[in-house]
Amino acid sequence: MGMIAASCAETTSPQENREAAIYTTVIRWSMAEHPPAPPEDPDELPAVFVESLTPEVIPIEVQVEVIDRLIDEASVRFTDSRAEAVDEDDPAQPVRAGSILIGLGAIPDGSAPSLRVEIYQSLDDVYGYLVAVVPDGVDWKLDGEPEVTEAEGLIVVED
Amino acid sequence: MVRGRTDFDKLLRIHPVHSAAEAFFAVSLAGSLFFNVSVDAARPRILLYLALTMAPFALLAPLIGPLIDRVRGGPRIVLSITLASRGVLAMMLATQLRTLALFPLAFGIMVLGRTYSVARTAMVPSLVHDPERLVAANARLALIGTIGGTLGGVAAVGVLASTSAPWVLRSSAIIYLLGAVLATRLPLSSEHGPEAPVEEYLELHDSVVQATTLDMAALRAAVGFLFFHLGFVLKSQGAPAWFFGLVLAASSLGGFSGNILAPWVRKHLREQPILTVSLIIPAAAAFVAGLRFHGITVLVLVAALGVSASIARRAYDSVVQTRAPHARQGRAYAWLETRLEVAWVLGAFAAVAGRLRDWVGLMVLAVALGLVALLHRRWRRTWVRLVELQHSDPLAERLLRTAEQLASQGDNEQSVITATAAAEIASADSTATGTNGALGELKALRDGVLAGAVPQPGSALRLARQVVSGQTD
Repeated sequence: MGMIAASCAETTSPQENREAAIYTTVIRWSMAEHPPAPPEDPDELPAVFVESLTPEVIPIEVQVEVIDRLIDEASVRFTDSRAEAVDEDDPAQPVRAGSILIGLGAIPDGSAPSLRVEIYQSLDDVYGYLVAVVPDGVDWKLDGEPEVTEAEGLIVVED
Repeated sequence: MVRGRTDFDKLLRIHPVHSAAEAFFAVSLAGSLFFNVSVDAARPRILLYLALTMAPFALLAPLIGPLIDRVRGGPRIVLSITLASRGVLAMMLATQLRTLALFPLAFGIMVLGRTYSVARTAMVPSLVHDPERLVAANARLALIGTIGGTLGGVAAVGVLASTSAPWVLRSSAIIYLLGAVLATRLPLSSEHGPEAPVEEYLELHDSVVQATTLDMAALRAAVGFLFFHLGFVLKSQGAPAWFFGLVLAASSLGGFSGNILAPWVRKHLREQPILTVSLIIPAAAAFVAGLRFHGITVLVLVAALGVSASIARRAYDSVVQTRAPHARQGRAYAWLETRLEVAWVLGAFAAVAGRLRDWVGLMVLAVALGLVALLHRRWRRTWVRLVELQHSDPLAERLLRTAEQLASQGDNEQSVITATAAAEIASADSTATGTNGALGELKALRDGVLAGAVPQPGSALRLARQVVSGQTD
């Protein structure tokens, strides 16, 4: 009975909903801007790896919400370690299966936050942006063109 | 399939069905949220639900034995509930695989699986009427369970490939419910030998049984640790889902091979060396895998642990049957099995909470198993030496010590009778006649006990010491 009660009690808070909605918008834009390679099986969705650019882990409630919102568009996989997303045996260190690794910065409070976003495809293909978003009904949308910045978090420092 | 003619045959039909359902459940997790969320984000949830589900299990599992022993229809009630409940949870989980409800539902299924294991172990003595056949019966159960699990795993992969993970879970629900129906055919009443609670308690707390249980618990903890450690590590390294399947297959193959090899191994080695070797082999495999973390070394380690755990289990069953012949009640086996299941949980907890790197976790495992093997060996040497020393003493002195132990445990009647026996043997061996008076008094005390008088162990022991040591009146 406890298991059933626990399984029914899982809901996201307004803050988590906000974060999930913003991250979903940003991931969607990232996939449009730097499309991952289509999978070999046409019935499968493209995989997209997501990593936090801050030391804090993106809460699991937010992760689950993002995965659910993009369930018909991509197979979103949150990672803690580079090795999960990147083929480190390949000298170019590309993301597995031609996909992309999206780094997400922290979301400030406010009605028009900007957050740092980085997109990694291989050692030579790393892009940084500052993305501003505004509310759009229950969702969020980009507020103008993202500003190109220096990529820092997803840069691989070679020995 | 041969028509079952005995009650045990009914359990032999249920167990592979349970194992097949468990395999379906395991395969379904390939389509779960676990592969989409980050390990660090999932870790607190896993720890939480591990604690929430296993804590009540540790408290309630010892009650399973008495339920099986004393309640009419106890075996069928417990097994039916653990199977049917899992069927219900699996059906719920089919729609929640990609939500946070995955965690409580999946751990609910896991803890009910552990409960099933305790119940199944506890009911075997009541279904196998010949105590000499207990070890063989458990071996048959383990073998047929592995076969059921392997076939179930293959079928589950086929279902997953042709449909989706939710349908694999729905299939597992149907199989669990089939098992629950089969469980309703278990006998209503259980047969047990006469109760001997004192002897049962003493035998189960015998140093050999305790040491062997510790070895078996170490292996169980290793299984729990490796299951979660590899789960996290392989995910962090981006291992594809099929490799997880390969790991499960290696574990199954190891278990199956161990069950096949166990009778041959037991013909050539006694139980205690089997247990030592069963600890050393996975320790060595973990050490090698820690030195070179690679798909092959990981699969070898998993298989080695499966083989060792299976062979060790047969040796453990043999030790318990030999050293605890009065432990025929379900509660005794439930008590032992619960300790082993709790060890599994503790191993799992250590893996989840430890956050160890791939090779570090395996080195820790290697060291832990190696230490237990070393301790076992040292204990074994000490115990063998003590037994030799004990047996080197004359019989009369050993009986006198037994009489003193019985008196200290409050068993005064047995103490007086045993003390008298010690004195009679010493007197028969001795040519001294000065102790005849003491012997006569002792015999009078014994006759008094047999006639119902209040035993006087203090006087009996004093007189017996006089006779055994050859002191004259």
